[in-house]
Amino acid sequence: MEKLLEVTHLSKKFKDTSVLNDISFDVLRGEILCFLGPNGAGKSTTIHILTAALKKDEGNILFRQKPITQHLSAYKQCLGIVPQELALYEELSAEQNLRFFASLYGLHGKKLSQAVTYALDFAGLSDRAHDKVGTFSGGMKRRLNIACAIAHRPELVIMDEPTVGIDPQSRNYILDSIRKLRSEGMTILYTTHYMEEVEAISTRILIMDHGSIIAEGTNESLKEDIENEKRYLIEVEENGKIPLEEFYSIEGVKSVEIIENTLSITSLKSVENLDRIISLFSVYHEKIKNMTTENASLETVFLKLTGRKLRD
Amino acid sequence: MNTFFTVLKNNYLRTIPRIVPVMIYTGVTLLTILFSIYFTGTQQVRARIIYIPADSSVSIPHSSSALQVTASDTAPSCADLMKRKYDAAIFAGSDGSYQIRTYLNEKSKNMILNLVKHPDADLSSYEKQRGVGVNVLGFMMMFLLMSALSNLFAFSDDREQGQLSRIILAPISFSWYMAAHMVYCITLLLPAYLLLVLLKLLGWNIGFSLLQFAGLILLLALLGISMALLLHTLIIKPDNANMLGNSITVLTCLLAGSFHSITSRYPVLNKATDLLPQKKLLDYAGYLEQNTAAAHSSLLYYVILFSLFLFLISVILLRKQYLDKK
Amino acid sequence: MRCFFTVLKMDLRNLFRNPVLIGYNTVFALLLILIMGFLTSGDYASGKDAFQYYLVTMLIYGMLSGAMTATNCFMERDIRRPNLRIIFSPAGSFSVYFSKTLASFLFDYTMHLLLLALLCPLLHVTLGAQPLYFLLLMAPVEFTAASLGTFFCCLLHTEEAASTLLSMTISLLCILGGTFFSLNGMGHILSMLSSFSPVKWLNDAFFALCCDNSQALAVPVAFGCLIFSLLLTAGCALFFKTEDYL
Repeated sequence: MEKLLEVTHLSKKFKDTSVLNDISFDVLRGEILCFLGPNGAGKSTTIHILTAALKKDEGNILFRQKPITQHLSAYKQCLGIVPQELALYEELSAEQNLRFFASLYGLHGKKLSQAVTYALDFAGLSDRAHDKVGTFSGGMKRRLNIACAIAHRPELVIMDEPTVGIDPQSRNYILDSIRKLRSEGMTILYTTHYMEEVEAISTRILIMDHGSIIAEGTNESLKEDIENEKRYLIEVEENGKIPLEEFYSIEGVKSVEIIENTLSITSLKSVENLDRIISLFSVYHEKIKNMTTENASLETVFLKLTGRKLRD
Repeated sequence: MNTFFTVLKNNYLRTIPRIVPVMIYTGVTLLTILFSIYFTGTQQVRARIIYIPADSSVSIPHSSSALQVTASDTAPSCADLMKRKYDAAIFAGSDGSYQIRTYLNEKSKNMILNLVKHPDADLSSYEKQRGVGVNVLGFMMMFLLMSALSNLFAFSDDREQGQLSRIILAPISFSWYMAAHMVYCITLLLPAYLLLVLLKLLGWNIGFSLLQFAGLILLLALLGISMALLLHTLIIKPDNANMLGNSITVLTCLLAGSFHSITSRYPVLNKATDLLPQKKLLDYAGYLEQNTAAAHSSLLYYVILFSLFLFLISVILLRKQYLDKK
Repeated sequence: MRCFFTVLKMDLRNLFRNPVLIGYNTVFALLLILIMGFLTSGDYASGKDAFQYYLVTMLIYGMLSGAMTATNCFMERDIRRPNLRIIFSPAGSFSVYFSKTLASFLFDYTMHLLLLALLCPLLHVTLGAQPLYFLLLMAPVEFTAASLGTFFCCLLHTEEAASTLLSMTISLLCILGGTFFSLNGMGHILSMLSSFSPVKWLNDAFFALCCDNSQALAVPVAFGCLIFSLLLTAGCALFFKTEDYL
């Protein structure tokens, strides 16, 4: 697949704090590339540098094999940006907002009207086109926020956490819309800290933490290592009664971690050992308050890579 | 009481990122105090004239503390007379007659002609000069009121951004909540009072005693806060409320004569401006300087009642908007 | 260029649909002129002269207060984010801040011209034998005020701080410049300080035009305003950094 964007050795510091440490990645045409990581990982900083709103300290960014600094205006023409915060004129209608933002990308006349119609359909707001944005619900505003970025049908759409603070129904609508954009030929760069969204729409994932890319791959390839694993989360009343060696003596158990009053036991899926694990609690008179089972997920991948939960 | 201290402490914390506007208002208020004291201390020239003698035999009157004379062969431009660079042009004939060209009224014309003939004449019958205390109060009045409007930012932000809805749901006392905002606003006016204390200690004449000034500034603060509270209650957007409030403050302070006494030829207008609480306060301050304030305490009560009235409307509206829904 | 005009059109729309700004630039100025004129008319032989004085001085105060229109147009809380979204578009940074200056200038100039059209015949006030010069001199002054407002926004990043600083500064300069009352008789030091206030130069130029029909001061004042505006716009280019608004 053609490389639309090539980023090499990107670094950025704010005062003495390094927020991006020599990261490199490519964005392939037609893919949905998701940046996954906790708050403060460097996702938004990366986005802002790619949109040329923030200056990089080191590194190169090529768009269609040309440095973006050499043809910035033409580069921006091909971009559609969905900012993290809502950036809409609340006193104006949806249509007026779309007309304005689409005009900034050179559209006028009939093409502008067609673009506005397309964007309103995309956002599912055709029947509210003439209503003031201030009267919209949060989900509708988010949809309009995205629509303003894609009305001019950019090649590359960059979305910075576009589903923050909205209801599940609106979120699903947005995720469906993103798949639709891809089918229309757009390339999407999407940042989020919700793994469910990444699992739902991504073709490729970059996991970031503390300014570095710690893993890269598809949903399946990232979970490959841990797909044959499952995790038992057992909450107990009082920890420390059962020696950890006892768990390791059970066939299939790979690791045991204690997080406050919860035991996290990772075991091979192929080995049925739950009964033996439970029996240990009975032997040592350890009372189980709650128990859940987790299969392989990006959360688990992140935990394995960093030792922390995605939302810590 | 816990509500009071919690809100007060929170307001001070919220002041830190907004320290620039707070310092600007404080700095300007302090400057106006110093300026007003200097201004009162300066002997004010009552008339500035251009004197055009008919010939060299005509003597030119000397300048005095009340009269500033500039001799010239040519008349001043209309613009100079209009913008009061000169109050009048006097054409002195060799026969001792005078022709006066001015935009001012008959009373001023007569005063100027009297001064030309007798430059050291006593002018107390023409216009009474304000004392230093009234001038200090008048000059800082506009800026103190604008400060009160700006300092109520915590309340206006709570309202606009929805924190007030959240605060109301907590087990707090609404009265103590409002009291905290008011006390916060008053404390930010302390630097002005401290400057007056310092000037008094340095031996400057500030017109009133420190206790009197404390009372007057407190009244001004209450007036400003009650007006600001009403505006922020009626108008949700703080920017709009501030813009409107500043406009009202500038207008009413000018009308009340905070910088310069104003009397109109229209009695109706004079009566209308008399209704302004700022005017009442300045009049009271004038009587205070003459030690006859006791006989005019109704002026004081007017200011207090006016402030209370504005405050009451605000409280009723707020209760309706927030508490009655609970 | 098309992008720039798109942004300018949006800014003008936001301004002309803002009742508070319209009121501030018309009603407030109108009230100041009428009330001050009425109240001080007793000091003059003819009441018309009071209005003549305050029309000119309060108009200047109003024109300078137009800086607040610019700060509001640029970074008022509700439109700050959509205004700054333009950074991501091909329109460029220059469009972001210069369109605010131009839009504020056009808005304020229109409002003040309407005000003069109403008040001059009503109050029988003259703008000089050739009123066109008076009206033309207003343009560079309005533009300077708008540039000042935009510049302060670029410097201080928020509308609140910029407006607070500007309103205080303008009020002080106007007091020193003799807008509300003449400082000429208040001692040598104050008279000297007054002569440093740009408002005094503006007063002198406008009064010369309407009372003496003299353009002698108008040209240097207009030229000075244009130079200052250029410097302020250059200052915007220097201080406006997109990363400060992310």
